[in-house]
Amino acid sequence: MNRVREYRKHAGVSQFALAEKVGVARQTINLIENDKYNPSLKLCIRLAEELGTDLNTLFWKVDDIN
Amino acid sequence: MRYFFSIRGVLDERNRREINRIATNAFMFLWLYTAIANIAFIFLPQTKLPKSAFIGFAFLNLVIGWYGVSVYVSHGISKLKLNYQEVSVDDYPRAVRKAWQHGAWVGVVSGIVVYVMVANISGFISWTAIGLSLLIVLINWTMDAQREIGHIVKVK
Repeated sequence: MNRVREYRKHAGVSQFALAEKVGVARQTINLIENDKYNPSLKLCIRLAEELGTDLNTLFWKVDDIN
Repeated sequence: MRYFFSIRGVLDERNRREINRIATNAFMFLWLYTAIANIAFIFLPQTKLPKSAFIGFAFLNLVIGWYGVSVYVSHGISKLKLNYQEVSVDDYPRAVRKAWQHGAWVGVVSGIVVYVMVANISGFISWTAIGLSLLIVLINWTMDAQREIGHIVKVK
C-alpha cells in the first residue's frame, strides 16, 4: 500500500484539491490511494512534488527501505 | 475525443487508458464483424438473393456496427462515470449554465434537422415545419440540459 493518503491528509488537502493541483480526476487519486491504479512515473513525480516528499517515501514498500 | 465519447470530466492518463481499452474492444469487434459478415455475404448465392437482402444487409450493418458499438461505448463510459463532471461548490452555477448552453446547442441543431426534413414535405414557410421544429428545440434543449445537470457532482 502506498502512502499517498497518509501524506495528503498530513498536508491537509482533499482528494479533489490534490487532483486539481496535479491535473487529474478525483477518482484517479482515489484509485491510486486504494492501490487500484498504477500511475505513470510522471504523475508519481507530480504527486510527490505536491505532497512535499519523494517517490521512495510515497510509493516504495516501507520494509524494502528499511 | 472528448466530444466523440461524451466525456465531461477530466481527461487524465487513467481515463485515456480506459477509453483506449473501450475503443480497442470496439475496434476488434468491428474488425471481426466486418470480415465475417462481408465474407459470408459474398459466398451467398447472389442470383437467388432478392434485392431486399442487400438493403437488409446494409440495415444489419447499421444496427450492429453503428448502433451496437455506440451502445457499447456509451455503456462503458457511463460505467466508468466518465460522463460525470465533478465541480467545486463555487463552480457549480457555472457548470449548470454550461449545461444549459450545451442543451441549447443540441436543441437548435436537432430543431434545424427536423425543420429541413418537415419543410421538404410541407413547404419551407409552413406552420407545421416551424412549429414542430420549435417544439423539438424546446424538448431537446430541456432534456439534454437536465441530463447534463444530473451528471454534475458537487464536491466540497
